[in-house]
Amino acid sequence: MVENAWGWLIVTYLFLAGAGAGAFVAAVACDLLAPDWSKTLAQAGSLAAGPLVAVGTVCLVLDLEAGLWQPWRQIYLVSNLSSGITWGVIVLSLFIPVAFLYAAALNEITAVGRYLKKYVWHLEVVGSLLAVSTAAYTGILIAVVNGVPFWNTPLMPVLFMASAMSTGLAVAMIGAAIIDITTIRTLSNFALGHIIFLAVEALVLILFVFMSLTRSVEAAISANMLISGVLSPYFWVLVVILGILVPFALSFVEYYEYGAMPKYLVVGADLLVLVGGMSLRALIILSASPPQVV
Amino acid sequence: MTEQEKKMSDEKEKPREEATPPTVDEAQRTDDAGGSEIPPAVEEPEAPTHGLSEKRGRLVAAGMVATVVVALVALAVAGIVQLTSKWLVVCPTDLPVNDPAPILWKTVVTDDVKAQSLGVPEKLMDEARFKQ
Repeated sequence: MVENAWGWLIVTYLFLAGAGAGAFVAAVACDLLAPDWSKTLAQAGSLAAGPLVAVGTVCLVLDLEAGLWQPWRQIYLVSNLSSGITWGVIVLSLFIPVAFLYAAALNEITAVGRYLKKYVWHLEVVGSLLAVSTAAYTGILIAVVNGVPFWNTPLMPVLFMASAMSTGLAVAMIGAAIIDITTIRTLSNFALGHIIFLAVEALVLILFVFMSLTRSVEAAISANMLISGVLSPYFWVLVVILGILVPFALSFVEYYEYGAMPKYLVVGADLLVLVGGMSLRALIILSASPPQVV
Repeated sequence: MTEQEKKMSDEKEKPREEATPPTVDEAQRTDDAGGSEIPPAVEEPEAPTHGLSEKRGRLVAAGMVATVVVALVALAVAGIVQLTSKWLVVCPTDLPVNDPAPILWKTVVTDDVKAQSLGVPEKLMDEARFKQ
């Protein structure tokens, strides 16, 4: 396998944090725009957001080996305010408690949740800003790495943001199906969200790959590794076909059939979106490898 | 699905249709589905308190299960890539067999300048047969 200093823990963090942030945004959108008929989806999204980002952050901390064995050194993470990573740490540190409090308030869990019920709208506004920042930060974290020209592009946060919204919606839809499988017909309305986010993700991915081919030699090597090199089987099968094209087609049918689609296909489309999101992040990280493996 | 379950399912979906005025598209969908009339609203009995706590417990469990599902997807993708990457064979960029580059390069950088005959080398002349 390709040798890389950025391993699976970082990939897992990028995926879980993106999905958690996206789930939060999906929950807030459902609660604000259609609180009566999309309540289950809002509940599921809010309940999954906090744990997902928290588990992702644990992966990030585990990857920081110096920070793990000498935790007092983590103070340096927030000491340089001119760094994007410092702001990312601050955003993550604030988002996790806000996401848990929002879940408690929306679902009236525990005394704290019941007390915060009247502040749900405030939590939604603050939490949405933090969620969007968290999703963008997963892209910024690797876009600021100057040593890897393939990652070093402003398109990276945009790509990760689109993928985060798509995977977050998938998490909320799976959670809603777990809470109450009879909401599956209602979920057909949200298939439109998948259609939009997957289309945006595909467009940004095409731009990202083709711009990389002409941007620099190193970026072109990485892009070639994805489209025709050693990682191309994963890229075409896991990301393009299973992660984008199949769920896009299923969501299209789901939206226009409106509840007539079998339940396992509805949930299956969401699972495929998650597989695509994880694979996309893994391949972007793994493709930043020395050129001699191509 | 029994008749009772169907009725309960219809009742759960009803608020969505009441909350938003039906668009032309939605009206078309209702017609396509058979144009069945919406049954009159039925007052749901108030749930007992222990039911609420049970429902909250179920919600939290569903959130946890969703998180576990996402983590399992991450694990599955990592496993697939790690396991199948052992089967990947990196294609060589140049084949060493019959590669004339090293010999040509030696000829270029050599100190011994030899007179090179023009035309086809003798060895090749022996091995190849040219069209007359």
